[in-house]
Amino acid sequence: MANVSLKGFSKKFKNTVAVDNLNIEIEDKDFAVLVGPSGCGKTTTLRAIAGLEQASAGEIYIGDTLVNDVLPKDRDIAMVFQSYALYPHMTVYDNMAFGLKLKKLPKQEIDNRVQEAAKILDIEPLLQRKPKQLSGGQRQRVAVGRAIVRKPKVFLFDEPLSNLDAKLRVSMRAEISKLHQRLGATIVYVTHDQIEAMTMATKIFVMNHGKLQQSGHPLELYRNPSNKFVAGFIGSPAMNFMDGILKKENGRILFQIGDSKLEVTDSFQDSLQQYLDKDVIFGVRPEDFHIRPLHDEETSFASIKVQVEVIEPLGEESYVHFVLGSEAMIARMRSTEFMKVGDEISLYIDMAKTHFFDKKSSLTIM
Amino acid sequence: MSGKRNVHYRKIGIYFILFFMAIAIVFPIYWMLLTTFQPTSQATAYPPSLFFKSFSLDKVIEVLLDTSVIKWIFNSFIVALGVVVVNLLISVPAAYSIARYKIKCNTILLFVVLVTQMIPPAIMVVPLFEIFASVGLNNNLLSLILADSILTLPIGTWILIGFFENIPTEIEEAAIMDGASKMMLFYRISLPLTYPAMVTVAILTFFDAWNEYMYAYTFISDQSKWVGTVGVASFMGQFLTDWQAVMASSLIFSILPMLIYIFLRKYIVRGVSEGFAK
Ligand SMILES: Nc1ncnc2c1ncn2[C@@H]1O[C@H](COP(=O)(O)OP(=O)(O)O)[C@@H](O)[C@H]1O
Ligand SMILES: [Mg+2]
Repeated sequence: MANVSLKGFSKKFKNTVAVDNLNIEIEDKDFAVLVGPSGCGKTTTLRAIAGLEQASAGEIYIGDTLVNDVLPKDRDIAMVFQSYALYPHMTVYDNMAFGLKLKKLPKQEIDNRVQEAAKILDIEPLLQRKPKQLSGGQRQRVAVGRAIVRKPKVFLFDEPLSNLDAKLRVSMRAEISKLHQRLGATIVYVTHDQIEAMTMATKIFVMNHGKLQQSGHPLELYRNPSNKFVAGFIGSPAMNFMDGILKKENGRILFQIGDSKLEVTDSFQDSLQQYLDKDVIFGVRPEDFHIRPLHDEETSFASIKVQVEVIEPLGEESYVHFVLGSEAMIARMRSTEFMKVGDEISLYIDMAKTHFFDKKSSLTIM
Repeated sequence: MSGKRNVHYRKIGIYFILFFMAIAIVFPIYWMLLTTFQPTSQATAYPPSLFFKSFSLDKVIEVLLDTSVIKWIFNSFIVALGVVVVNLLISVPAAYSIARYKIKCNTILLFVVLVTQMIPPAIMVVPLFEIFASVGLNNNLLSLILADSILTLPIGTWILIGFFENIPTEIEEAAIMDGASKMMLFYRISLPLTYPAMVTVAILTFFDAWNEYMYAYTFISDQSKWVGTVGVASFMGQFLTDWQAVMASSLIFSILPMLIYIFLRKYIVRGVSEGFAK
């Protein structure tokens, strides 16, 4: 069993608090992704799990063992560094074999493991090269290979794809996912890229300013973000936010932004009572703007009139930019042939899929 | 247009300066060759001639056979090699620990190292002489090795610190994850990565020791233990100077440094640019 858990983990550097009271539960065989903007404490957390950083407070468990005072080499983990950190003076083969030699494994066993990893990663022809004779993508594979040969219970990845070009990144994403299934190990993966998190994770941990914001299955985070930060961070293009006030007219609660009044959907009516006449933030995902209301009795649609500012065609779909109130918004549309820049168009918002956030606390109301 | 012309003038200017610098550097070497390889009568003629009139190996052979120049050069070699060994044995671990273990007194330590560089070597001649005499090391090449090491250690350490600091800590951390002990980080990871820098330091200290004169002149009195610099200078007497012998012995004495320069040039350039330009 190789679950990983952090209980009240904090890390201070002199006067910066890098990670603040983090509680994380990663199940055995999970693909856990720590995601958040640069500087939010992801690497620090990963390094603490690796044992390269001492916890200022809190407990770190790998399996059922408290590892706070266990040396990195005895934690049964392997780490892939952001810079790959290959040994420049050793061949690819020796890079992978180094740890095994230190463990004093028999020569034959070492060779078997290195060859097997090389095969999995498709780097067999490169075994006798030095790191500086490799491309970025190849170095990345070697770094992964160096981790695989140790057959650890837990793999730690620190932004392993951030130095690759866009195309390679997409294919490596799929490869690492496959690797996860094949190895059946627990993976803790750090990235600032929410697309990587969404596509690879079985469980996402969103961090910001050293604090855990929310954790859960990717789609759960997408559908039910617990605060405005998570709502804005997960999803691309990001959720549209607008400041406004909740009003009551004819017994129904409306969200007022500029001249537009949007009627809140039935299921939201009760919960929003206590926010009447208060500032709230309204959130709509780009795909929840529609050209015409869908014929679905469960959902209600509110219409707005906007002026098209930019149309970005992406092939299958297009991003339509417009301004509502004073906020710049993006809608994701299937067909945009009928509109052109400058047109006044009506858009229908699928109110059942919208979100409301408390302006003061940024927490999700609905 | 005028911009282009300015660049043009600047280029001509630079080549002009380079040309004169080259002359200034090459001419003494040329003069050394000229004086050495002419018959004595011609080499000492007045006014001297700027060009070869006839060629002769007589003086070189005379210096090689009738003086101890080979022995002196061998002594120089022993001393320089010794200095290189002592220097690397001390400066490599020193630089590594200063670069890797950031402790508070590092700044003070580095400052002290720098200050020792500001003390003129001449000031230390007498104290060192007394010390070596008291432990029975006077007239012993070992005293030169120790004294020259004192002179060259700061530079060597300084250059190596720069190199060790340039090795990303993540590489050592990867090795820690692989199960390497602290000693292994040094021997198996950082040390091999610093070999080129060590060659650089070795060359620079070798030259320093090879060219050192003052300590060699003071500490060694026995003629058979002289080093090259002292030997060459010995042809310049108080009343009479055998210029041709000075030139011929200088030439023989310069062969080894020239070979090192020619074959290991890339290490010298790299050391100077990477070690100091930080
Ligand atoms: N060794 C360190 N010394 C001082 N501050 C550090 C150190 N490592 C990280 N920090 C600080 O801790 C915070 C979190 O850093 P990090 O974990 O690297 O963020 P991330 O990986 O999410 O970009 C940052 O503000 C960073 O400046
Ligand atoms: Mg990071």
